[in-house]
Amino acid sequence: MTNKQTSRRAFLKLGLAASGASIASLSGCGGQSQKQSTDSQQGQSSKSDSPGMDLEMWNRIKGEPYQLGSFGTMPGVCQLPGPQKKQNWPDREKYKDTQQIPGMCQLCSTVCGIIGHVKDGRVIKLEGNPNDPNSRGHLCARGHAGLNHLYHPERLLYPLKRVGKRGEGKWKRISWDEALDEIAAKLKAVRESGSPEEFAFHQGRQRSKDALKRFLDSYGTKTQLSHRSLCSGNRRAANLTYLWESDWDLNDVENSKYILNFGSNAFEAHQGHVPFATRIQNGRFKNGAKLVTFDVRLSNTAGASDEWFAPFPGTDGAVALAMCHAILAENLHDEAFINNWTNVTVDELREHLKSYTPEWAETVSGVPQAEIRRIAVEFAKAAPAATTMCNRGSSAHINGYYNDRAIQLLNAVVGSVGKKGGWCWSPWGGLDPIVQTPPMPPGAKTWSVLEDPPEYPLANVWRRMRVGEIIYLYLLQGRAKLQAYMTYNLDSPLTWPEESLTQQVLTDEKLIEFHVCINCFYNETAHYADIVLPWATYLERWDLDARGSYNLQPYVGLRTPMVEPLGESKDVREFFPELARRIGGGMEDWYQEPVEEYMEKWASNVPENPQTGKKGLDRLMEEGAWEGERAPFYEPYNMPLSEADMTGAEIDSSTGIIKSYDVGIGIMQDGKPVRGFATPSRKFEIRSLFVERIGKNEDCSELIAHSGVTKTKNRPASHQGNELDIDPMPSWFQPKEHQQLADDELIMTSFKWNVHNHGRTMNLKWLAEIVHSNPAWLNPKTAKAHGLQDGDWIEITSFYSAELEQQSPHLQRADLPQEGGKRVVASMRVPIVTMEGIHPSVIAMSNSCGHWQYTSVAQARKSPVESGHLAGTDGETYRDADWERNMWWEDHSGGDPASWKPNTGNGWNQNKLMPIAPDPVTGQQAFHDTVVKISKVS
Amino acid sequence: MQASTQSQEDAVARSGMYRLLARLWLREADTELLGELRAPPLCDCFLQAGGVLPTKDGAPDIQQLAVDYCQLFVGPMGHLPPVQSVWQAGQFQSSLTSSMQHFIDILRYPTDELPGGMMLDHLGVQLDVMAYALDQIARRATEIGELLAVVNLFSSRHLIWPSKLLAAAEDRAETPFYCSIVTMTRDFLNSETAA
Ligand code: SF4
Repeated sequence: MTNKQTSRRAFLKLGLAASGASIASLSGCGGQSQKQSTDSQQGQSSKSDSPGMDLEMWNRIKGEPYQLGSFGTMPGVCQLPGPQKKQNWPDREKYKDTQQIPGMCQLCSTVCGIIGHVKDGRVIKLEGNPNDPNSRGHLCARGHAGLNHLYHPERLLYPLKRVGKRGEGKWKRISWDEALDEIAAKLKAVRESGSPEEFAFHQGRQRSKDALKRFLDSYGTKTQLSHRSLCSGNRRAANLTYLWESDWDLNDVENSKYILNFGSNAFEAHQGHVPFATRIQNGRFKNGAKLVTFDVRLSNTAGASDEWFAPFPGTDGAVALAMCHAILAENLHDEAFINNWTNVTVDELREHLKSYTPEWAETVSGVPQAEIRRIAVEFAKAAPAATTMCNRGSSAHINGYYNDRAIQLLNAVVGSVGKKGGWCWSPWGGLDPIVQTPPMPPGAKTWSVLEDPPEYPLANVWRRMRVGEIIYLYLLQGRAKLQAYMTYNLDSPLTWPEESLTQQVLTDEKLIEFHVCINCFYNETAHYADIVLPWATYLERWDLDARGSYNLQPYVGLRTPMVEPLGESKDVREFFPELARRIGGGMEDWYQEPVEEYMEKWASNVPENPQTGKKGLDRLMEEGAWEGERAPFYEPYNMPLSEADMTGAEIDSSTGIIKSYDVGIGIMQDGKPVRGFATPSRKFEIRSLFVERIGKNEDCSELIAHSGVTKTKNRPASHQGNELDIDPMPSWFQPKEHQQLADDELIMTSFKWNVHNHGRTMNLKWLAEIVHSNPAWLNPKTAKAHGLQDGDWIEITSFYSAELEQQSPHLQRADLPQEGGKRVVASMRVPIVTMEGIHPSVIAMSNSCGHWQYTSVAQARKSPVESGHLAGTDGETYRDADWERNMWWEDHSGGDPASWKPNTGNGWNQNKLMPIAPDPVTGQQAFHDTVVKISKVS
Repeated sequence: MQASTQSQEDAVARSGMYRLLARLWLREADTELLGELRAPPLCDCFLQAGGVLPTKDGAPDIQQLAVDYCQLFVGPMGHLPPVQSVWQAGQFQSSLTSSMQHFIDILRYPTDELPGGMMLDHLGVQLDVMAYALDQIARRATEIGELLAVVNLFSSRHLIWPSKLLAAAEDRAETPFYCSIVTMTRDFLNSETAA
């Protein structure tokens, strides 16, 4: 008898024992025979009472051939896109008879409308939804790669509980009940401790605002932390100084003749990315617009512009003010707009801009004064169909608030504010107000230094922009403590400055007692959690969603589950009610209906489509988006006030401001009552009395009341003692360290590629295949001066900002090393690529790279194995033929620069070098100002 | 076709073995399961079939087994999802999942008792579908020809694939218990192919 036979016999014996033993713990297997017998005996009708198999189905399909060699499929089963089907491309049969389900992408904040083709319960393709009024059926590469996101083999599918030390990476699976019980018990205890603000919710990209707000307000904490200060705080604040009613400009580029771009990379990574980029190109190719870009780096936007200038970093505001100066000097300004619609006169403006000459701007920016004048004149001549655009390139600086104020001023000088083809905005930043959520709980009233740091006067007065990058530092400094911390779609160790500080605080159980992480993947944040909850992807959950639309009209889009969430993943809409019920104390009262019913109520005002007879959620389920029939928001300041508006209103004889019940509603212009701007003066506020006073912690109640903007707030008493002089006029300064840049110093800048977002796409193989690494860019002149060539490795050492050492002493950390009198943030070794397309004083590295968690793809490992078990035996583990064939970028150097091959590896986390550097006015992180030194690694 | 008493008995035994393995793959071992594996008559048979039982003194064992099961098959990262689509199509939910659905429909396999969110091409489900089909065969004296054909086809499509998974899992298992379960699964499936 052979061993094999013995084994076989042993197995059969075990099988017989198992089948006879009526093992109770076998329940939970689907086809458990004991249950079937019992059911049959009791004469109950169940599926398994039928005679064993569906003969009809079997006979129908059994004769058809199976395909695909070693592991064929069932006939009629559609292949997913992927390695096996590439030989059969295009497969015209594939999308026949698919169910088409609308949704909204969430691989960046643009939320383009999408359609999922679903077959056999699987999404087999994503494409743009032409009904979406903003994205108009277009998707970027990221949007298409949503399939990788949904079906990634390393997706989180079950709740996990930490077993070892925090950060050790040891986990066990737990049930949702266990997870929710434990979280609820902790949150309940925090609430009962009398300090509910010590429960902080920290979100990365979120598009379920109502669900988060409902949960946190019903719980009673206002400590909701965001990543806005890493993103758009300065641009928003600058816009608000002028407009008050909108923090978001929507440049009407499709109708423009001239687009003046300060540092925005709209073709790759703007918040309005695809809708904005397509309209820019329409403006250029259908309307003859010229696109001129100022950027320290030849981005894909700069490269596709008609002209590109590379100013010295952070000098966009200087160039913009000099252009304003030049336009006024040439008398090409819009006299009527300035005098009638701003709160300064032309003469006052001339006087203010006197010193900001193009010659001066050339000295700081390096852009020739003649070019500054020429572009300014061209821009003014194209007005009013002329607009500026800007984004993080100008905003993410220590002087970013001033840069953006200066840039926006150009539009007022040429009178393109609110004009067709000009610099526009809309009061509808998101959903059409026609849709209303079911009743929401009253707002929580707590205060936390983490949510409202007193040092940043404009961070919270108009909108809750917050200053996310300081929270780990403040925790370390003992300025706040967290009993419970819930992170949501956040990757702070990778995407925030000072990686080491972030990791230090996340690891410390005294500083953060309890950490729950909600995410689709195990990322660098989840690594430091106590409980990880598997989040449903944006293709598996519900939302109503919209962005500020470039049509200048509001709309409503729908995100709906295209398929059931994979594994046990769930959306917060599903498990927040469960948590609320467990926490109790009235929280549960705010969760009255199941999710779909909630969505039906929320969408109920979407009107009927006369063609289909469908309305509300039914209509959205079919069309994916709905846009009302409002007129585009052009020149809102000229909209006449109605007789009803004027009933009981008072007109101030000196200013012409019209007030109703002491709240501004309009202004007299040419003897007629019109809406004006939503500012206290009802004008475009070039001189902002509000910022001047709020900076000094003065009471602004009267100004706020006159504006009628109820969201605007005074600074609270807790801000006293944190006064800051904010220039009420658009002005500009240069950070100290940039004024004194030594010959061997460079300024580091970062950027995003068109196939990635900041921290959530490097795990998607179709995208990682295109961009997976980020050597540092250096100008050939700079490289030569440092004795470097393409492919050489350098060590980069980064320093704290001298400007902030002076302006923001609360950021100081005495524990850090010094070099040449400067405090060092970190050092890192990277290879370089040389190219002309970068300012000689700049070194650039893209972000998105350098993950040390977040799946094997993000780490450029073919094998999904971390330990050494399978080293050299790749064949022993699972393989994806796409990786097999295409992941040529796996790095085999083991970190040795000498054996590293260009284009291999997963790159480096550039944020490691970044200091915490908030703009002192708004708190936006200055990602593009860090001074570094480089040296060749021999 | 008519089933002999011998082959019916054989089907019962095979079904029992598939079901036991299914349970072991679908969820972590719990106290209840370990208790039953330690009791006669299963205990001897389990040990003779190559199984290794953890020592008897309780809770730490369960925790250790849960951690091992998790790092092997659940994640959060660098694990070995016991799901056919992952090993053969590089992602979850490939055409293989749909193929499983077709077999489940043909066999009228009841999925309602599977753990929530279980993927149909999870090895545990595949083992249990096989157990269920064999159970159907064992219950019938006649008309098993078509059923046998389905079972054979199912086995060739959905139970040949795990050899690489099993080799990798055997290498990475940190507890003797899970190492033995993986080995037992491999040897049993091999013996099925050979039989
Ligand atoms: S721009 Fe791209 S990633 Fe962003 S929402 Fe649109 S399709 Fe998705």
